[in-house]
Amino acid sequence: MNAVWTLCVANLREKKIQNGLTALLILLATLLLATSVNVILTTGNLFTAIHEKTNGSHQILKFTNKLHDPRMVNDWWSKQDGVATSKLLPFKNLTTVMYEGQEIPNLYLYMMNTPELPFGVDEPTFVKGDVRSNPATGTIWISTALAYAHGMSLGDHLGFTTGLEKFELEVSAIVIDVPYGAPFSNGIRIWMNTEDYQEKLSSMQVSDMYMMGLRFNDYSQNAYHWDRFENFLGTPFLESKDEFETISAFYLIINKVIAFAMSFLGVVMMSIALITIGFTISDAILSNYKTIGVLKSLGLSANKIILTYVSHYSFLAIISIIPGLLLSHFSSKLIVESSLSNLEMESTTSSIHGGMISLVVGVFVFLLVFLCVLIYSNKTRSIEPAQAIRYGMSEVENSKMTKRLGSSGVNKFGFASYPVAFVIGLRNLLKNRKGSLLIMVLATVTSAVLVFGFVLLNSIVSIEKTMPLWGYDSSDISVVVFNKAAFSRGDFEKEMLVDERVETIGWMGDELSGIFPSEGQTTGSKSVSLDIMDGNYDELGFATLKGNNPKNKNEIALGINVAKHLNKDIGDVTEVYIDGNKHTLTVTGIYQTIREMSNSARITVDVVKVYKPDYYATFLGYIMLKNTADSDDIAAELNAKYKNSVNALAKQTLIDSVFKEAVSILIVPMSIMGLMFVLVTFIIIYSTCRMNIRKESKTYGIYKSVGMTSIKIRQCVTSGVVVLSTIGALLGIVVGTSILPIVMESVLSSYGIVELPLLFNWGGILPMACISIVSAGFGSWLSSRIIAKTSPRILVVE
Amino acid sequence: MLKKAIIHATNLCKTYSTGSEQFHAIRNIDLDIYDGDFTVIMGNSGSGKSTLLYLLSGLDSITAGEVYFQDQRIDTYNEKEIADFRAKKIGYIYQSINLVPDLTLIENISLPSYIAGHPKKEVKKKALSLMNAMSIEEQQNRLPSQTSGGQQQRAAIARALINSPDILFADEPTGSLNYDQGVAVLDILTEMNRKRQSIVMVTHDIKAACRADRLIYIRDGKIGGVLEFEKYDATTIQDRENVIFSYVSGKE
Repeated sequence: MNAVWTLCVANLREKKIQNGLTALLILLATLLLATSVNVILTTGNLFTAIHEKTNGSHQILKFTNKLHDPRMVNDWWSKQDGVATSKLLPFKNLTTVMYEGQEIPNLYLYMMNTPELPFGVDEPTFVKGDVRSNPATGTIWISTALAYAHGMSLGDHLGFTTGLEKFELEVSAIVIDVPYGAPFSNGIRIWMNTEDYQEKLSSMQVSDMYMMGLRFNDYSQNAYHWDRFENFLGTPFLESKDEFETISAFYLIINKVIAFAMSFLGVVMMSIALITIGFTISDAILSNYKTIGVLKSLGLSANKIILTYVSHYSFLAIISIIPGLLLSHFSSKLIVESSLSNLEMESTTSSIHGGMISLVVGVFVFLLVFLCVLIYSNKTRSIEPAQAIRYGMSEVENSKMTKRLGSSGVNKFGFASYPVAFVIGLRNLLKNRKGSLLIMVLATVTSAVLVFGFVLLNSIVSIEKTMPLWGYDSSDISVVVFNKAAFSRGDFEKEMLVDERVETIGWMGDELSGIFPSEGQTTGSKSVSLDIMDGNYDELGFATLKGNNPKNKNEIALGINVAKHLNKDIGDVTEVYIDGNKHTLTVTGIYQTIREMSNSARITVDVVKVYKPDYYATFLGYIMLKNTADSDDIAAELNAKYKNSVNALAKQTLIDSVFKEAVSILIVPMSIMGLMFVLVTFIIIYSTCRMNIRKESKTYGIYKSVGMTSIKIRQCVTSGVVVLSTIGALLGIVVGTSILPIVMESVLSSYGIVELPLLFNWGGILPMACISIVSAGFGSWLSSRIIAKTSPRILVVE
Repeated sequence: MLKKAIIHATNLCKTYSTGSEQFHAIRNIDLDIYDGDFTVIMGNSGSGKSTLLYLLSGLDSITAGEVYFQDQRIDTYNEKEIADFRAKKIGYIYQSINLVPDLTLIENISLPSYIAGHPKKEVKKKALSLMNAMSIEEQQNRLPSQTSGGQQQRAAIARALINSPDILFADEPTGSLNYDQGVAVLDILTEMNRKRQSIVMVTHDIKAACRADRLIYIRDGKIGGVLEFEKYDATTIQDRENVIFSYVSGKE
């Protein structure tokens, strides 16, 4: 054992830099793997925990069209075993909220007449402010989603307008409101005192609407309950129903993206780390071949030699894995908190499930390293002392190398045909084929990851160019009518159409649900949100994945998830209940939308006019301009002129309000990962080049002794690596722009996005790909410093 | 006839640091190497003879002192100057041969000439002529590992000579060869010296040292003595062997 101990200590002591780099690599691989596992598990856990804690609803029923008696429905559900039902929550909608003198755009407010707590389902959880049974007069409770996004705190005043009346209320509590608190949701519940609700909203000429939450003891049984409920009603449920998948989607979608990137990178990083560890060990064995031969000739058994390597790398693994796991706790926390802050209690410390998961990841990494060392160090068994001492490698290896280097292919690249620098650089790569391959693979992976990360971020930042492919319109101005009583669509249109800056106008009808009854193999009816267009979908920029948008009264386009659920394709006929009326429509197109996770459908206003001839779509107006640059001016003019009835928003304002949030959520984890990846690549390339250079130091010493300058030798070596990493980077661009998007699409398909609307900005993609080349070149140049610092004598002889 | 010094070294020192300890390999040596001479450096193992060769040839840096080559101070050369010096002025032959393993013999021999920027045709012609002179022409496209030790060492000599250096340094060039191969290599060096090629050779072999005009004996990093054969009436190899033997015995 003394011999093993002595050799192990010597290996650790004499190769400090190499050991340090290997340890750093294991640390970073552990960090990335543990972080990705933590993020994936914690995201789900955090949402599940808070959903559980608040007795969160699985479905929310909204009664906005008086098609069912809310109390009757609430009574029926309250009597069901295995289902918790919330109190009926009366509300009215507003669209305008003012904070610090500024209007917050793109919010759809549910002004709630707050009953006494508890509600039974979806209990508000107090993050700030006194816990009360309902808000005090003159005050409101707001959700963390609203408060955190706009920096609101207790004591702040929010201004509201009903069109006829303006009023202000003070924030007295900030609560977690799970179904209306997800990132990007523009529906926000404002919890008001009953007196305020009745007094301040009395001027609105609409009656109360209601919502209620349902929580099933066993969510998988919900179809059974719904069959019974619809039997009881005698019709499908004709009002709107938000499903659990929609409620939870936005909490999980961004983290799904991050988790995908993290787990992908984690696996790639771990694989590369293992290959590198294997390569390092294999290389260490190769460079010590002669020594191992000598040790064997002195009587040291192969088992003891293997034990030396195992002890050596086990020690490195232990001292790297522990800090890697500790750091992963903080990086996971940073990522989860940046994306799920709406669910984070101020008083809660980290919700990261560090302990056990970290331990499992740690043991996993250790075992991988251990196995890797065992496999590679097992090579020492085949070392024959005589061959090792004579050739510095096995006889077979020696003959293979001789054959390779003496081949006519290699000899074509001789000094007689090409410049010395080119030949030296090329032969350096050909000689160290494994190292060269590793560098190329690294450059490919790094470029692919960086390119894809950039493409994704750029696509979200520049989303205005791809709005239709995310399921939105591409109109220049959106007009929300918040006070129909004070608004005349005819007058508005007349004025707009004479304005020569305006191209066209379209109108979307009120929020309506379409109910698809169960059919064929589908179980239970499906309630989806309906877009009702009075105008031309195509002219307003709504896109489809295949087929066309509906144009006639017997046509419908389905969101991709609806089409999947109903198993319908273009040309198929489907039945749908709208406002309780059954329609038979032909599917003309299938589209994707991030809204409602593609659980929606598009029809024209003519469908509604079949049973309601005087229907007038006035919920939302879309204005297309001849010149987009006019949008801010026109929106301002409309807001001034129709201040009591509409809220006009330029497209950019809408985009900013939704997607800046996405960018801010994505940018932290993506940047952390990108940086970590570049760092790891640099370390691996530095380490690989360093090993190659050490191995070839004698050759470089000879070059130096016959008159080559150190700079020239370093240029040869580095340019070889640069050429190699350039090939890798080009492959990386292909992978990052064509393969990774396909993988990402498969991850996001359940969220209603089957074709990622990506923008390929080559002006950014190429520099991103070049990072790996620069990193490789820099790593190679830096690692070859030894050639400059050392005399030929040391390089050649010692 | 007054001999002209091709190398002039004064107060030459080389110290190696091993942790807190310092090892003085060369201590204050003053030395001249004469143009056209065959100079041999001898000494016991660890005496500093190879180190002295490295310092004189510019392959290692000095700790103190000055080294002049043809009246040019070389120890202050920058990277480019020293590289140019190594490519054009000197040739170096190692005991362990040190051919680049992945280059063929002809490529190994041609390499310094390509580095010096000579035209390809001229390089090939010169390389083939040297290989012919060394009787290794047939091995030109073989890798070093495919040839014998003697052939490799002859290739190394050809490599050292391809740029027609002003001086040839040889560090125990026969050390890794068998007797016949060693004699063949020494014959080549002697023949070259006869054509006025300056040679400095480190050896511990008395038979090899007999080929020299002058013997510098190194002990503990200092010059222990200088033996000029012309001062002795030793014309045959046997006479020279006797002179060296009695000189070295006296020094030890």
